[in-house]
Amino acid sequence: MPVLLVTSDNEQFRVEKVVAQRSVLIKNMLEDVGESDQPIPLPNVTAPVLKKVLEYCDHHQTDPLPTGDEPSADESRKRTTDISEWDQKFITVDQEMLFEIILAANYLDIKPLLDVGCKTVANMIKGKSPEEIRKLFNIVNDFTPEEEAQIKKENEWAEDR
Amino acid sequence: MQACTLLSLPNELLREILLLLPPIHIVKYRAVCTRIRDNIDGCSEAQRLIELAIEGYQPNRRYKGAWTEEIHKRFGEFRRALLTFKPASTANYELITQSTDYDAGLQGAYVAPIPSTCTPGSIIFVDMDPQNVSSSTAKTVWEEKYQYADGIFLGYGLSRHEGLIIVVYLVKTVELSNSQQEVTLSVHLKAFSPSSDKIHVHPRAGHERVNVKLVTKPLKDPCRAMVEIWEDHTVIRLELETTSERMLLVLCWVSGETILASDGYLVHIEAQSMQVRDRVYGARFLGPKRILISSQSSNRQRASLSLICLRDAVEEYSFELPFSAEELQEFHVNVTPTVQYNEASDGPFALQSNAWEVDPALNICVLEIEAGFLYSSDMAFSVVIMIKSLEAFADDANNEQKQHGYIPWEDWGPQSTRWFPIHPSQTESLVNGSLMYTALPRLWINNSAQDQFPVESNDTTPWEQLYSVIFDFNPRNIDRIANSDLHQKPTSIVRDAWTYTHRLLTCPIHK
Repeated sequence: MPVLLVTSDNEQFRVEKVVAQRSVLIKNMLEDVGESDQPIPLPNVTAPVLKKVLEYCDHHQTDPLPTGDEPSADESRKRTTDISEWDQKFITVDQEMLFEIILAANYLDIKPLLDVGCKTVANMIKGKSPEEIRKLFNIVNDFTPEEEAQIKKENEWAEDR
Repeated sequence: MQACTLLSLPNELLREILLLLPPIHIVKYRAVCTRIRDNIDGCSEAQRLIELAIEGYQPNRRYKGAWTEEIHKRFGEFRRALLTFKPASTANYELITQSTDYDAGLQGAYVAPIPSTCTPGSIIFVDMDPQNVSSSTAKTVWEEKYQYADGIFLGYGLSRHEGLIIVVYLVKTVELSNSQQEVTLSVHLKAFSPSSDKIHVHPRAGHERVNVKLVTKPLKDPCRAMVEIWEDHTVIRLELETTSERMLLVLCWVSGETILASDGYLVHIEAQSMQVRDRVYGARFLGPKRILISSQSSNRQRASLSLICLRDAVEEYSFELPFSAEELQEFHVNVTPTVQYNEASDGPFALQSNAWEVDPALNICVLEIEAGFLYSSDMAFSVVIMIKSLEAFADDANNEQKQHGYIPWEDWGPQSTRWFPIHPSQTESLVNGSLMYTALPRLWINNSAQDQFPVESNDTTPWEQLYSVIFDFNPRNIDRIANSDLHQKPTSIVRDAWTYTHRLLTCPIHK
């Protein structure tokens, strides 16, 4: 049975239940309301982002759902920064979309997608100098000169590493 | 609507991301802006990671995954297990390698001393890789007989990463003339893997053995070989005692991924990278693709240190040491033996090994040179050279002048040298990463520090009272110690390490 999702910009998406249930948020909502064809409002997600998220859910619809208490093997898999090939391709998007996806995955409670997003960001940060990170993410250096000098002193040992 | 950026993420997500970073990158990430700094400072797990990074723990470069507290904990357990591991009969075994990289795979091997008559012996390997061993108490031990009975045993080496063993034998010598001799060496390549309990031909090895022919001056005694393996680079150093002099021959195998599987690799050895030098005192690895050779400078009759970089071509850098080769009787360079200072074990330096490697977690390299002089046997010196970054050598490939060139002492990367006299009877010091362990006479220890060393007996002179001291050359550690309330100044003795004669002494870097 398909489920109707409504985005913040009032676009409607009709998706299979099994796909929509990748989102723990939606899964819980469906369980709460029971059998109903009421549209589910998603006020924190825009249409382009939901489209992308549903693409992920569709591809991973047969994956086992993560359980509440994760076994340690699962934990160690989560901890590596390796990303599968399909996910890698999927997450190759512009930065704004990347962060929108992360926020949406967090809101919709899609843990595997959130992991893929966070790992991607971590891989972007890894190996870069503070200045390069600022440039990459368009972050303003808001340290006072004193704070900056302090951090520079604290980080001296980590240079050239 | 404002564009969505990194800083649009809530703090909890920022924290998720930062915990995926290797500890050293968390430190750099912290310097980006105030929100990220506060996010990191408010996260106890990140703080712990940074503390450990300061202590020198860092994932191996080969390790793809993110560092976790759990892995660190297990690493500690495995290392302790190795330090306390004893084969059935310790009297007949020698620990030949031990790594301090928690994820480097093979961590140790015990080899029975191999007699020169080549009777069979046994090898016990201990794999300490937390990735390979599922339970923290499990220990993988291999035992295998080996037998190569067709020559005189010269030496062996073991790759800690992949279980490749290289054993060198002298097969025969043929007199060519009064001044020339042909020497045939046999090099055996054997391996094991964690998935097998047998010693076999390594997939990369292809051969079980190869023979190497050399022409040299007539040998007085059988030579000795030492094998050092670093990833796909292998150096066999042969000490040759000829009728007229002591020589050291360095065979370097520079290879791509598959050199040992290729039939042509012998040619590769001969054509590309054989270094034969007179009066070489020592050779060893100084990080991947770098070999440090201590020798006599060819034209200046001075002792010199050379660094051979194995890249597309063999590049050589060298500098002279400020003492004359003529006067030198002994010349040792100590680089990072594999003994780790470990408070938890009862004898931190009880286990020693012949494997040398630079601590990859610290780009500080402490070389210790012991020089004993011919004409004044009571004068011996240690020189500690700190090369802050090994990369200082690496990225000068475009600079033609520096290739195969003489580099002045001052240009050898940011460095610091310290000289101090050592007692003639003193045994070899140990260097590990930024730590140097050495025995010093009371005389040398400065006045403020002396208070903390009890005088053992008034019957002995200060020269006769030797104290074990650990120097720490990591500037961050010195800083931390200097700023803590417990200790007054960085040059003082700061920690009673294990007994009253063993102290940790930090030395500020002298520029």
